[in-house]
Amino acid sequence: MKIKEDLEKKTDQQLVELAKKDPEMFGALMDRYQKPLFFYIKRISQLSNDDVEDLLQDIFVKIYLNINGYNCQMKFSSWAYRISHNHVVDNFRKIAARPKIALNEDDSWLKIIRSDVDLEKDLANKQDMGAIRDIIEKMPLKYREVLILRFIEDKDYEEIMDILQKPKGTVATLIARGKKMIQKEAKKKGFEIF
Amino acid sequence: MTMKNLIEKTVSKLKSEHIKPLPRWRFVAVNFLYWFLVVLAAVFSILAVAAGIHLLFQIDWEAFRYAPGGGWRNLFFYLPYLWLMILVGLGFLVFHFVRKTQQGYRHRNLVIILSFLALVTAVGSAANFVKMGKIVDDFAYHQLPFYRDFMPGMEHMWQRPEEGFLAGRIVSMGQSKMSIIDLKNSAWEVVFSQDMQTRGVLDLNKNEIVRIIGKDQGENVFEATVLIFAPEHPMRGFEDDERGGYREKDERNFKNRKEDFSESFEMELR
Repeated sequence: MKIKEDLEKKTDQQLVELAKKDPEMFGALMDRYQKPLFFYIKRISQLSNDDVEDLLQDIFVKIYLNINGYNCQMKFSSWAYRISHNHVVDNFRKIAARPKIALNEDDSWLKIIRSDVDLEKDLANKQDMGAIRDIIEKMPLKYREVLILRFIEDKDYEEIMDILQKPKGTVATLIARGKKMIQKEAKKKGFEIF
Repeated sequence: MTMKNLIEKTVSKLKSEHIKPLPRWRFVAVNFLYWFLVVLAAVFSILAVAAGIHLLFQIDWEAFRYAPGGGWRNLFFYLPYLWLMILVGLGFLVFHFVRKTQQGYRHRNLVIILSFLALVTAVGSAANFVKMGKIVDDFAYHQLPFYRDFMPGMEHMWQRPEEGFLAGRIVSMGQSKMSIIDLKNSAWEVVFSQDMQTRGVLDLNKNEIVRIIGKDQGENVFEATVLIFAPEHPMRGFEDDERGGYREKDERNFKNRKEDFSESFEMELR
């Protein structure tokens, strides 16, 4: 118990140094990041829980293999998200062939438009909200992932830049275009947002 | 699989399959390799810019003013396209390898491209100033068989008497004519027209290279309307060591001529 408490108090960098020497210590890092990475992979891949866990195991093995390549000038979370993102993209064809599920049963996707829209006032009914969810699900991955990282995962621009390995300006452009795309599609379906 | 099981399963896999982290030196080496490739591509880009600038300076810009029938369309034929294409290709490589470095993704595309262009232009110009452009062009001209086809150079333009361009080394001079040997080792009699113009300070002696705009009269006789003397623009193929023995051949060609040409001739800039 005390050991677990001690590990919880350690920073990511300290756990990384311990994990390099002992795989058991890597378990502490996994414990810290498995839930956020699980939901992140689920949001961008739209796979079932079992499929996401399979991917997550591969990703953790990859993180462990490359742990000596981690640059401590970057947040460990950004680096772990980067490896997760790259793994999903690299296996996109395999992932695309698997059955998809509806995005985010907990409706956390609404955070994407919450900053610009008064949800109670401006969205007429549940049908509109369902339509918006469809729009986001069908968006190209490059727009969907930046919107997820920004509004659901609450990452700042610096972190998103490190995760996606794109310049800050490009990240800002992708977010703006993603929101515009949602607006355009919503208008086609007969309602306005943003 | 629950979350706890995932951790146990993964740690168990790491241990049972003896999976170890890749050594740090591999990541350092890969990053170093990308930076090495960036520098290498940049160096070749600088040399390409130097060669391109050198060739631009070799263009006889003045000649196009006097060329019959508007020589400007010919100008585009002599621009250093090959070096420009090489520069573009190397630029793509620099961009690609910079992006692959550890911090490369942080910089905007435009910043990388403009920085690259600024660097190679500045350093390439400096390199050309210390004759690197000429060295690169000469090396390519002598060592690469396809280079002369892609980069014809001014010597190509001046070997087209049928279009009014002729250049050669002076064999003998007279008041109203001279004889030359062109780059293809053909002997020519050049007759000065009545309204002939000159460009450049002319101290025409034997062995000087002269460029002539005019009209081909046939049978290796050329009527000159413009004489250009431009020693600051040496032509490839006219270097001394490539022309050994021509003097004897030239003089034999003109042995039978009865006209007497004076040895040297001076003309003032009109």
